[in-house]
Amino acid sequence: MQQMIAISDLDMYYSSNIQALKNIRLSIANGEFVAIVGPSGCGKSTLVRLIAGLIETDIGSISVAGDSAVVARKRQQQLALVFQEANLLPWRRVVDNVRLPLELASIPIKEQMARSYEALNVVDLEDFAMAYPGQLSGGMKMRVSIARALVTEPNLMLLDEPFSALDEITRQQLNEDLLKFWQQHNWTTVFITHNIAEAIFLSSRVIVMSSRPGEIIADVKIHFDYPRSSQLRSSIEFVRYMQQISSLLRGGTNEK
Amino acid sequence: MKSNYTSLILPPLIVFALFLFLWQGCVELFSLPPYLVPSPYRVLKIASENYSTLLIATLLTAAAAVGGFLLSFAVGTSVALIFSQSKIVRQSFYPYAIFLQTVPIVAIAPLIVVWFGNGFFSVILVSFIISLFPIITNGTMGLLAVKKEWLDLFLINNASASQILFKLRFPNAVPYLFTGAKISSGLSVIGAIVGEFFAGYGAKYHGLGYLITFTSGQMKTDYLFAAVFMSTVLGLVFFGGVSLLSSYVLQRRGVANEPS
Repeated sequence: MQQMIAISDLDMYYSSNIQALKNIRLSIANGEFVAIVGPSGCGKSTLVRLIAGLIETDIGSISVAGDSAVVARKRQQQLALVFQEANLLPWRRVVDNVRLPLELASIPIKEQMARSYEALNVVDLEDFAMAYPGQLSGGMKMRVSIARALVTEPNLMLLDEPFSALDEITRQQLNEDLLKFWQQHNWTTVFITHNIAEAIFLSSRVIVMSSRPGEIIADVKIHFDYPRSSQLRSSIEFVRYMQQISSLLRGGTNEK
Repeated sequence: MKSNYTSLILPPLIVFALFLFLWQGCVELFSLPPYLVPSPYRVLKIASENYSTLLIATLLTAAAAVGGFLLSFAVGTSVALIFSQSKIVRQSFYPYAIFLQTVPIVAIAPLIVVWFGNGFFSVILVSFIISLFPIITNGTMGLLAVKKEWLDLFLINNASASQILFKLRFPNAVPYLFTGAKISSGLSVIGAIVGEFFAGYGAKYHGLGYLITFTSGQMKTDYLFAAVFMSTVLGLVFFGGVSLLSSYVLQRRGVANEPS
């Protein structure tokens, strides 16, 4: 399979003496769903920003779809990033938030609207197209945010702890929705979280990181078939994965 | 909604009526001379006698204030847009923007008359100078106060610098600009009146500023009171108008990001 992301021997420093990431080697194939877990402050978000081409590092290399990450970002509509918060612009209606990426790419307004309504339909929020973000619940805002990512039909979907501020029920519902979208579109997905259950439920591979400086300490394959049902969470294998990754994380944190 | 409105308007009106009553009472009780403290009745009488002069003065001053305000809003917003684009520009010019705030307008006004002569333009200019600073500072603050994640979102979608400015920074700054405009609306009336202290509109028509200096020189204290009262009403109406516009626009944007 072709590589979507290839990171080799990457180090990253915040300032001259604080190391954020150490010796990161990671390759992610086209269409893969990879979760990255680690304690807070382990540089997960930094890693996402590197992959997104929003920041650069001098040490090591990072390529996305065959180009350097920054070049890949500048190619229109290649990747989408879903943030920790829904991150909607409060002065724009829901539909105007969703079509923002298309507007920035100067796509004709008719097509913008059609594609945005389609994306809103997917996340089941068509009825709220004309509402303002301030009128929506946290879960609904997050779904708008996902619609905004879906609308560009990206090859690479980066999600940086997208559901961490939501309650457990909403989170599980959105997890299942996300898997459904992923199977329909088959983008490559990098999903950052500090929730182990979420990582196992969603991904085919869980990358475990240690706390600062962030290092990859394990790469755990999750052998569940897709599509996955919510009952999976209570299976014995699932619990085993939970235990394995928890102890890996504990080891990585106690190391220092 | 309606009862809300009356509860907003009624109590201050009652206070005002009580105040007038007390004032009239004091003037009569202590028999204060009218050149010192005229009774409300006297003020009302002189105001109705000079009804048209007062009204024209108020309208002229209002026009100058509106002119100064609009000019400061346009120029202030433009300056803020430039400031938001470059840190070096901001650091180099901001001290001079503060200069606008600290310069005593009463000292500058005569200079403006020397340079630009009597008349409408000079008055507008004084009003403009005094009301410019709040627009610049609030506008710049709003343009810069965008969340990092919003910027990331625009960069991820490969937005150009002008898209970031007009689709992110400017809309974000709108509530801030309104905050600045509310402050400036009151200041622009003060500026117009101060301007009229020094620059008249010619022999035939006078603004409130001229009426105030003239009547105080003549010890026509009752007339002075009427002019001061009209100035205050003008400032209030102006501030109220901008506030209403502000809450209308911001409400249309759906709650959102009013600066605290």
